[in-house]
Amino acid sequence: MKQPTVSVVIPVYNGARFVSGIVDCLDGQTMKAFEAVFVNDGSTDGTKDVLDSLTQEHHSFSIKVIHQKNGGVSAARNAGLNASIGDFICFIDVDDAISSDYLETLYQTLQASDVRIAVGNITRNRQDLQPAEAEVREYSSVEFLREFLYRGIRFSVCACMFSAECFRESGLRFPEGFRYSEDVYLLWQLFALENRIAEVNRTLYYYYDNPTSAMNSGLDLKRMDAILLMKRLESILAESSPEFSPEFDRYAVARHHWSILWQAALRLPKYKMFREYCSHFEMKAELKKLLDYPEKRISLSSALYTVSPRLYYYLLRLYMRLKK
Amino acid sequence: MKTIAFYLPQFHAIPENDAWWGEGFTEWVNVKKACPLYEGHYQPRVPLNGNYYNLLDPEVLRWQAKLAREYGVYGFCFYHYWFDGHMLLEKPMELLLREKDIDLPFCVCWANEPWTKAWVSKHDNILIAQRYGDQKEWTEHFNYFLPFFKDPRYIKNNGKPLVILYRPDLIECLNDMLDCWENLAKENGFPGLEFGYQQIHFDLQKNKDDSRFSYNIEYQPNYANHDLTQGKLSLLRKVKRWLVPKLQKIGINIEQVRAQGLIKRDYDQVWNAVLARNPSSEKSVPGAFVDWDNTPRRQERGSVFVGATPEKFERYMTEQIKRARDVYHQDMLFLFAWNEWAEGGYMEPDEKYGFSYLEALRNALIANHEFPTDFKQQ
Repeated sequence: MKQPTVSVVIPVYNGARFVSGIVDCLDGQTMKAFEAVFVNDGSTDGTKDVLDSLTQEHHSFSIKVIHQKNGGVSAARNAGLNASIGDFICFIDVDDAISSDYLETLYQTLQASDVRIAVGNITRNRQDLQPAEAEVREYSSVEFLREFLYRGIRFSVCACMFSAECFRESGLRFPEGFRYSEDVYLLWQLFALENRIAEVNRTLYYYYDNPTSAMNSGLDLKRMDAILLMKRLESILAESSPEFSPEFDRYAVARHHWSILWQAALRLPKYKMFREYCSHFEMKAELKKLLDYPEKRISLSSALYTVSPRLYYYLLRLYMRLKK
Repeated sequence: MKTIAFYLPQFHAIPENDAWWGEGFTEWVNVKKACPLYEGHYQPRVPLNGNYYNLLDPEVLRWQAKLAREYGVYGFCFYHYWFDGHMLLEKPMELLLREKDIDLPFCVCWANEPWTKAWVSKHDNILIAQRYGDQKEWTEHFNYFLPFFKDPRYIKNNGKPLVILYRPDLIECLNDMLDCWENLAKENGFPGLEFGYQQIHFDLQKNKDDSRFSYNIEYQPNYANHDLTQGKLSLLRKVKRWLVPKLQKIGINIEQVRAQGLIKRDYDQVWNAVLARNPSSEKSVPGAFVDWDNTPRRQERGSVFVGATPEKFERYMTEQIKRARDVYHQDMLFLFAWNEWAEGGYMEPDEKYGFSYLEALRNALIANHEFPTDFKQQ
C-alpha cells in the first residue's frame, strides 16, 4: 500500500534568511513521509540560490522548488498547491515555526475523527510549541463556522491540514491580488463545504510577528481588501450555508472593521491621523452592529467608539501601555 | 534573545585623563589619530556625520537607547571603574539613572583591573592601583550600586540584579566580598544578586571557585583568540601567562613584554572559533563580537582582524543567536561592543558602513524569531 503523504506548501518572498530555520523545523518532524514545496515568489534577496541549494542537500523529506514571477502570497500558495502530490496539504510560512509533532498531530486528528480538515492552534510565543496532551473536539459545519466567527483569531490556514480532495472537488484556490484576509476568505469557503471538522487543542504553529514588516508597513488602505472579501462571502455563504448565513451577515464585516480600528488606534501616533484613516470606512455604522457581540472586549470597545472616537483612541493607547 | 552590548563610557573628559593624557582627552582622541598600517586597513574609523559625541549630554544617551531598541540590542553593560571609593568615568551611567525616560535596560561590569597605560604605552605604568578592602569598603561599594539596582531598567533575573566582574581572579577576597554583597542585596529587599564573570583569566584557573557565579560569560573575541592559540604558545608565553596575573596581584604589571609587530588575524577564522565553542557548563553564556582593531590605541603593537563585513557579521550572528538558545540554553548573549571605537568593536553607525551592522544584528535576531518582543510596541 502506498504510504499517505502530506505536501507542505511554503511560499517565500524575500525570506532567504528564514529558510534554514524552517528547514530545521521540517527536519525535526516526527512524521517523515512528506514533501516540502517551496515557492519562490519572485524574491530579490537571494532566496533563489538558497532554495536551489536545498535540493542538493540530504533531508529525510523530499523537496520541490518552484520559482515564479512575483504574484503575491495567494498566487504562490496556489502554485505550490497545484504542484503538490500529497493526499493531504498544509500551508506554512517561511518566517514562522512549527512544533515537531505538527504534521503527526494534524494527520492523526484527521484519521481518528475521519474528517477532511483538522485544525490546530497558533501562538505568538515560541515557548508554547512544547509537546503536550492533545484533545480533539469535533464540530458540525455550523458549529465550526460559529467558532470561526467568534474566535476567528485563533485559527489560521497555517495551522490546518486539508485532505487534497477539499481542493480537488471544489476547485477552490486562494484569491489572488488581495493583500489582507485572502487566507480567511478561502477558509470560510472550505469550512462551509464540510459536514464535520476536527479541532485539536494543541499549539502547533508559531506565528512570528516580523518586526521589520510591522515597523515598515504602515496602515494602508489595502486593508479594505478584508472588507471587500467579507462582503463577497456573504453571498457565497448564503448559498453554501444558509443556516449560518444570517449570523455571518450580522457580524463578519463589522468584526473586520473592529480589527482595523484597533490596529489603527495602536499604530497611528496622532489622533488626527487616526480620525483621517477611519474616515475611509463606515466605522460607526459597522461598530454599532457589535454592541451585542458575545465577546465583552469587542462589544464594550465598540460601544466606547460609538460614544466617542477620541476617548476610544486615548483609552486604548493607555490600556496597551499599561499592559506592556 | 537579550543581546547585551558592552558599553564604554570614556567619551567625555575627566580630570584624571586630562592630567595623564593631556587636556580634553577622550577615547575619540585615539580614534581620530589612527592611521592605516597596511594597504586596505580601515582606519581611521569615523562615526557617521562626524558624530564624536560627548557622553555628558543626555541627548546622546537618548539617541543611543533609541538606536539600540530600534535594532534589537536589548541593553547596555556599562563598564564601571571603582578603585577603593575613587571612581572614573562614572558620569554617563549616573546620567542614565537620572534621566528616567531613557528607556533601555542596563547593567554594570566592574572593570576591576588596575588603571594603567596598558593600551597606549610600552610600559604599563599603573595610574591607579586596585584595593579591595574589607566589609566597610564592600558595603560602601554596594551602597553606590544600590540606586542603580533599584531602577526598574536595571537588568535583573527573577528580581536579582545582574552584576558582572571583569576579572575575579584579581580579587583575593572574592567570595567574602560577593557574599557580603549578596547579604546586603537581601537586606535591601532583593532576592539576591546574579554574578557573572567576563574575562578568560578566571575561567582558565584550574582550581577556580566560581560557586558564587551564575554566569560564565564567554567574552569574545578573547575566548576565540585563546582557542586559536591554545597549544601553540611558546614556553616563554606560557611562563608569562602564569607569571603576569601573579605579579598583577602584587601591583606589578608586565603585560607588555612583547616584541612582535602588528598581529593580523582572519575575521572568519576567529568567528569560526567562536562558533566551534561549546558550553563548558550550564553557566556558560555565549559571546559575540562585531570586529576587532585596537591599532588606534596601540598602533603597530596592536592587532587587527582582516575581512569583516556586515554581511559576514549577520551570518555569524544568526548562527550564534541560534546556538545561544539551542546549545547554551540561555536567553542572553554578550556582544563586544556597543561603542569600543578604539578597538574596532562598535555597533554605532560609521561613515563606511552606515547602519549596516545594526541592520545585520536586527536581521540575525529576526531570522531566529528572537527580536526582543517588548520593543515592538514602540
